[in-house]
Parts: sequence; structure tokens; C-alpha cells
Amino acid sequence: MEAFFVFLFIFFPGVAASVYYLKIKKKTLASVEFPAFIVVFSFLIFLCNLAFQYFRGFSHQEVFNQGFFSIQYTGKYLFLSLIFSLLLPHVVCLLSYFDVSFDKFFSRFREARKSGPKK
Amino acid sequence: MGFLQKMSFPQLVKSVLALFFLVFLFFSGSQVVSEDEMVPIWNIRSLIQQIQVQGQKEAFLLEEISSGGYSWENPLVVLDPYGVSPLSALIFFSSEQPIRVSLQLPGKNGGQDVVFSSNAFSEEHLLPVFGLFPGETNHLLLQGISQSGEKWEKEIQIPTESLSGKLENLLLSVSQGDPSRIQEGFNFLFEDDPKVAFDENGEIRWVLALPTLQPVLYDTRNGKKWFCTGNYHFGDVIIWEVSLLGRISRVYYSPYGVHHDFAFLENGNLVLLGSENGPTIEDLVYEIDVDTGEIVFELDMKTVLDPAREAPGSFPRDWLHLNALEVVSGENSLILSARHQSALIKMGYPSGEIEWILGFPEGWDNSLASKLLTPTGDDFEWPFTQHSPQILPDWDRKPNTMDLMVFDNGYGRFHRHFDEREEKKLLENPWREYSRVVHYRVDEQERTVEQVWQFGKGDLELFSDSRGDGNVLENGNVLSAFNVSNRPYTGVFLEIAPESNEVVWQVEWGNDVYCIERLPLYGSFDAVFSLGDPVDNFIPEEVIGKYVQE
Repeated sequence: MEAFFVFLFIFFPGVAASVYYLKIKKKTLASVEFPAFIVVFSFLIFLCNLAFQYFRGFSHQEVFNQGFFSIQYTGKYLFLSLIFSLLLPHVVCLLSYFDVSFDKFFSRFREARKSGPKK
Repeated sequence: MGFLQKMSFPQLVKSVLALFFLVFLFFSGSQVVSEDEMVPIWNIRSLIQQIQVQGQKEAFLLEEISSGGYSWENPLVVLDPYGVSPLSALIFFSSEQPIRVSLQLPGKNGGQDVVFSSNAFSEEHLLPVFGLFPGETNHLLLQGISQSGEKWEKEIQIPTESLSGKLENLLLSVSQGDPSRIQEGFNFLFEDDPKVAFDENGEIRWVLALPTLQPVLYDTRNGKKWFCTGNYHFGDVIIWEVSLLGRISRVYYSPYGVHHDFAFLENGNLVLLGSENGPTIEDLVYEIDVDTGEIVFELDMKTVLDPAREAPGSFPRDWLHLNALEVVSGENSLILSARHQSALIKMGYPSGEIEWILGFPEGWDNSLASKLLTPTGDDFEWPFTQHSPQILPDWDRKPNTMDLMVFDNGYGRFHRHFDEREEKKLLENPWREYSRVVHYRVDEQERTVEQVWQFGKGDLELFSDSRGDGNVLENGNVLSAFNVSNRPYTGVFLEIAPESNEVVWQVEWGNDVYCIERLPLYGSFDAVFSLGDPVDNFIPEEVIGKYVQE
């Protein structure tokens, strides 16, 4: 049950954001970067949630208390995560045209895989 | 532009808008009020509304009573007349001649009876009924006696509803030995949720459904009960007197919050622990004039102690963590419990002069180190992160000594520099920490302290890293509350016979616990009752306006 909540909390918004990002970039879900995007977006959304609570005082105390998994907190977290999973893919999309490009980063892996193991 | 060639214009617009919206989300407008901050607002609002509702309910009751239709044969019985105390009732009737009335509610399973007798002969009788059993029809025995000695007796049936929600599953287990060794009375718990009193069998017999802080139920010698509602730290707080029936009679206001305790000074004023609006919390002692409701004195403890001293649990913002105070009778001084300095401090009041410090000796600056008490005797241990000191009567009949009962949490006893990251380890108790109820004797002339008695040492199951209580009862037993750490939401209440350290009564409770008091249901304040008296309300109009929209 707890694992399900962790998934819901951390990875589900990341999965949603990754699917949306790939849609914006007109790539299929079969893309090799998909799992990596899930991890990256999950982390970014979690970070944004913490930052939001820090800057706006939104349930800031509950994060560190036993009330972390209260129904209210879960609801608020998921609502915020939904907003972030819609915004962040667009922001990442914008960033991807600068040198902090994910695509560029992952393309190195693709090229490395194509060229085979180092000798 | 190469930039635009890579990205379509609509997508560029979307991305830029998303970025702006993200920044806007973080930095626009004021802070969103968190749930933690909303709770005091909701609670103060509902308390102020309750005072208004109370007036309306009393007006209705007075109108009903004045209809004149209620007699010994046909009394008016109102269960929970104020809507906040579901196991209490009010009985009214008139008699043709002056009679004295008593009522009796028999206990169950060998439990004590609830008995109340009015003191005076009267023709009008307004009787509060406390201690009803939940979820059943209570058979109350009403007796009347005339001045000539003529007696009447009748049974009144009062059905009550079952307890629901959290109240249903609070009692986990109860065990008791010889009932004659247990101090009579009901066990009042000072939690914010729920506020209850239960009998020796663990059955809940009183509930107060009004929002409060914890623990701050203060029972005065005449049985007056006081609670606080609002903020622990800097912020609005309402301090109010209430009867067990739920009738609020006096109300005060403070902007400094109340952190866990207050008391009455010998001049009748209230002295409270709170926080200023500053970088630190829980380090303010302040006084409210009970005749005007004004704050007449404030003492910032940073000016009398050393905020830089490190002790278990302390951090710059909460360096002191005052959690209890006791007024020393006949002296202008207070005993303060400073959890995050692991020290009990006797301080002149209002002078702020430190008289002595009962605490482990490391880290005090030179001026304060000279105030430390020197331990004497065998088996002495300092208190760590303690709670709930109680000044005992003159135990040894020596005027220069003071006896104190303290709940020594022992958190940090073996690791003085506690780190939040070690929370999980603490629950496993790798340091084999233990909590104790300790009786210390301070020789104020010799400036020494000895340990007279203790209970709990070495019992890891009872380790309570925060909160707890220990009180000496009338029969000499010690009633204690252990907020056990290794089982979440569980407390253990023990009545201990100190001569043998034998546990004569034990209750396991399915909730966090803090303070416990063994009190009679009928204090003199609760027994004398009148309807329609005005509430002494010292909350400023602007504060009421802030919380309640007309």
C-alpha cells in the first residue's frame, strides 16, 4: 500500500509529464529516453512541490511531520503535481534549445550505443 | 534565428507562457496559508461562536423553566444543554417545599458511583449531571429530603448516544489490582483531541467537544477548568474558563500564544508561557490582569538565560522550549521547565532573577553556572528534556527544602547533540534510553539536590521521547502518563504505589498522551450552577470582529 502511495506521489506525475513531453516533441512512447524522462520529471516535480511549499507556505510544516500522508496533503500534492506536469514539459522544451538540452544529453548515449562498446 | 528554426512559433509561445506561469506560481501574491495556520483560525472562530450560541441556548432554557411546568414528578431533563458535553445533563424542577436534593449514578463492574448532594434547602433545583455512560439508558437515582426529614426517591432515565469516531477505540487495555489501593476520582486527559475523563475501568464518562490547545487544562483548587484555544506560538490565543457541562464563564485574549501551560499567581492574575513575534519561540513569560484582561508584564527569557547554550533538542529558534510552570506559594517566584535546556529553573517573578538551576552542568555561562545545584546522594541522575513538574507539599517538614515531582523524558540522556536525521534510530532506541518519574528534593540553603524516588529507569518499553506527566495523588500514589515512543499513538497510564514501586492500576490508551489528572467529577465550581449569568468576556471587539463576520 505504501509503495503504491510512493508511486502515486513521486512517479505518477513524472510519467504523466514524460508522456506529455514526448507528445510535444512528437516522439513515440517507445522512445529509449522515456524511462529517463520519467525519472527526471519525477525529480523536477517533487523539487517544484518542495520549492512551492517553501516559497508559498503551502502545508510547509506537514512535509516534515506525520501528516505527510494525510488526505488533505495528498490531495494538495497531487493537484500541484498535475499543474507542474503540464508546465514543466513546456519549460524543459524551451530549455532543450539551450545547452542544457536533455535531447542532446541523451543523444550521446544513443551515439555511444550505436558505436558499440569502447575498446 | 536558429532558435526559431528549431522550435515552432506556437510552441515557443507555449513554452514562454509556461515559464512565466511557473515563476508567477512561486512568487506572486502573498503566502498561501497552510492548514497548520488555518486550524487556530477555525478553532478561535468556533469558540467565539460557541459563546454566542451559549447565550441563545440559556435564554431558551430560562424561558422553558419559567413556564412553571416542571416538578419533582415531572422534571426537565436536558442532555448536553450546551451541545459540547454529550455525557452530561441538566435537571430542573420546582418543589412545593424547600428540599435538599442528591443524585447518584451507580458505577459498573465495581466502579465508583457518581454522587452529588446539594448543600442548601431550596424550592428550585438546577442540577448538573456528570459521568453518564455512553450508548445506554442511565438510571439516575434522585433523592430529596425536606427540612422535617421527610424523604423522596425516584429514578430518572437518561439515554445517551454511543461514542463515535476516535472516541470509540481509545481504550486498549486496563488492569488493576486491589481497588482499595487506587485513588478515587476520574482521569482527565488534557489532549487537544479528544478531551475526555474516564473511570477506573477505562470507560469514557465525560467529553468536551470544543477545540483547544494541548494540554493546558488547568484545574484550580475550586475545580475550575481552564483551556486555551488558538496558537501555541506567537499569534492569537483565547484562554477560557469552563464547567464540565460546557458552560464558558470567563474569557481572556493574548496575542502571544500559549505553549502548554499557565497558572494563577497569588495576586489572582494569570501567568502564561508563550512566544514573541521574533526569531525565537517558547521563551516568553507574560502576565494577564484578570480584572482588565490586559497584558501587564512580559519577560523575554533571552534576557535572563543564555540562548547559545546547547542541550538535547535545542536549536537556535527553539532554544528554550518552556513547557510548564508552577507558582511557588508564599514566594515571588516560579519554577519553569525548559525542555530544550534540560533544566528546571527557579526564577524570581517578576524580577527574573535566577535562584537555582536543576540541570546537567555542561555549557552554562559563568553567571548561570553559579546557580547550578550540586547533586548529593546515590543513584542521582539529571532530568533530560523533562515535562510537568509538580511542587509537592513539604515532604520532609524542613522549611529550606522543596520537593518536586518531574517527568524526566530522558531524551538525549546518552546523546546530548540530537539530530533530526536520527529520528528513526531514536524510535529503535539504540541508546537504551528510558523515561522516569522522579522525585527530587532541593535544599535551597545548601544549594544541593537529591533524588528521593524514581520509577521507570531501565524500562525501555516506557521510553517517551516527548511529553509525559507524574502527579502525587491524595493517597500518596503517583499517577503517571508515558507517551511511549516505540508504539505510535499509544500512551500508558500507571498508578504506582511509591513505597514498593508496584503498579496498582494500568491503562493502555490508543492515542498520544500528555497530562493526566485524577479529579472528582463534581468540583465545587461545577456543582454550583446558574443559568443566564453573563460571560466575563475580555476578548477585544476588534479581535472578535476579525474572526466572526456579523
